[in-house]
Amino acid sequence: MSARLRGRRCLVTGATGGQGAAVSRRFASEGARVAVTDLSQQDVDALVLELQALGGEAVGLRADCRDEEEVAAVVELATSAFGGLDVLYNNAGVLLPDQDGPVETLERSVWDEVLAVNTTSVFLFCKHAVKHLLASAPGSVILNVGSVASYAGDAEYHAYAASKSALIGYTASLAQRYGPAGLRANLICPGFVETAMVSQWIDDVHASAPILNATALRRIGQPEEIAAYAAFLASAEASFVTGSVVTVHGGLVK
Amino acid sequence: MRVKRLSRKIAIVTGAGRGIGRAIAERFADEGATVVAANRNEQEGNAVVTHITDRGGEASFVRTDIRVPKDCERLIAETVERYGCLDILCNNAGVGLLRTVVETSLEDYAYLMDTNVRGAFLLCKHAIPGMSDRGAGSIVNLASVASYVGFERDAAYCASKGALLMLTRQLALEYAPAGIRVNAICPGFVDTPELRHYCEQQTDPEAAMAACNAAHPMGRVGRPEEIAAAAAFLASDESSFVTGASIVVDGGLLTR
Repeated sequence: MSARLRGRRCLVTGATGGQGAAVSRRFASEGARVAVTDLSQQDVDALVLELQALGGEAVGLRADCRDEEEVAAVVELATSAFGGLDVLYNNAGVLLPDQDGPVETLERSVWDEVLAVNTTSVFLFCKHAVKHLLASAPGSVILNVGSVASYAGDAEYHAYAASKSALIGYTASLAQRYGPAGLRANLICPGFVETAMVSQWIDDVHASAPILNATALRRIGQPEEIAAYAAFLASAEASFVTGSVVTVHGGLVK
Repeated sequence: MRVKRLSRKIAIVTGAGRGIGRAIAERFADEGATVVAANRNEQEGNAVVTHITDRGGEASFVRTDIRVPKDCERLIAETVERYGCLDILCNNAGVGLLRTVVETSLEDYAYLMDTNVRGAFLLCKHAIPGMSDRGAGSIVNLASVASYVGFERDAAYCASKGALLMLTRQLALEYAPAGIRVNAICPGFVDTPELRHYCEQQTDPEAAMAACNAAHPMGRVGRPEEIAAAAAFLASDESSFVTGASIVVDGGLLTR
């Protein structure tokens, strides 16, 4: 592995899930110092140990990304442990397949919950991290995680699509506002990637056939394939990439 | 230690003589690829090959005018003859033309479209069968922010870059099952000889360059090496789940 992120101080949210863990590992293996957060302290601790075993410096703290005080505490931990912040990777997100839906069935509380986790948490982390990111600009980066649903919508999961769609406008706004200072902001939109939730669908032939048929490469992606793009965007390799919506979907046509 | 992401890959870069194409050819060579530098101007093409080989890289030159269908066919055939196969095709060669639709002659239109669209189309046509037989290949097309938005007095160019982006998406869909990925890069303004030439022709060259810089939220035009970095990523196996996609490398220009 190359070391394009040597010494870069990174914070990854939603870090213990499939994609978040792959991104955290990739950042660490490219030389980054990585702070991680997610809902379970036990899972966070395990990931921190794993990252340290990769030879990287790592810290972690449990937090509920909907809670501003807890978000602030995570940013404080990361910046005090590393003396600043270069990369904020907003991966925390949720899809509630049994509750999300069209207006006929979607409860207001579910809508609020999905937007709180997928959209408002991004704002909260940016709110508390931006002064640190600006202090290390030029070269610092905010990477948000959208979805193919960000730009294509989703017939089933309306709150999810709305929450991820909001990140297109928000990320572009961050890019415009902070570009002159040298802080970049981009949105990564994965297609179907092998994580616990998607694996359930893939094991079910009726659920997986439409996914595979819609994906030109005829397979779902691996978390490491998202992490590879994340590492590129987090590094100086992508020094002129800002305000971009990048897709990693294996040719998903929607 | 620096990892070489394109070791043992055979790559064609068109328009490799200068600007973005030259940066891509040099970057691909740095990443371990054997580069076939295709260029209309022989002197520039040979200069980039010499530069690469002087640094210990592998490269050779094939004189190519991609407006000439036979040249496109010959470029692919010669590459396969020399090196046994083709892994990466980077369709970079392109020309600009600052004219409104009313000002554009049929000859100008044909010149631009034959270069920017038909050249890439023909190179894909001849490259894909071999890639398909081997079940692997990566095609990287240099589109533009003009694939997404219109620019003043830029009618044929905008049309050509829109076409190239859609060709990218179509090819990705068609050849994904064959193991071929096809993606586009959409640069903003980049510091190339062409951009400098354009600015120098304006009544106030410094103001023209300042305006180009100011068009980007990052406050500057891009560097060819920043486009080459994206090309290396898309050409390599690092982007194994990326196809039918474009990466906008524009310092935020399109967000405005």
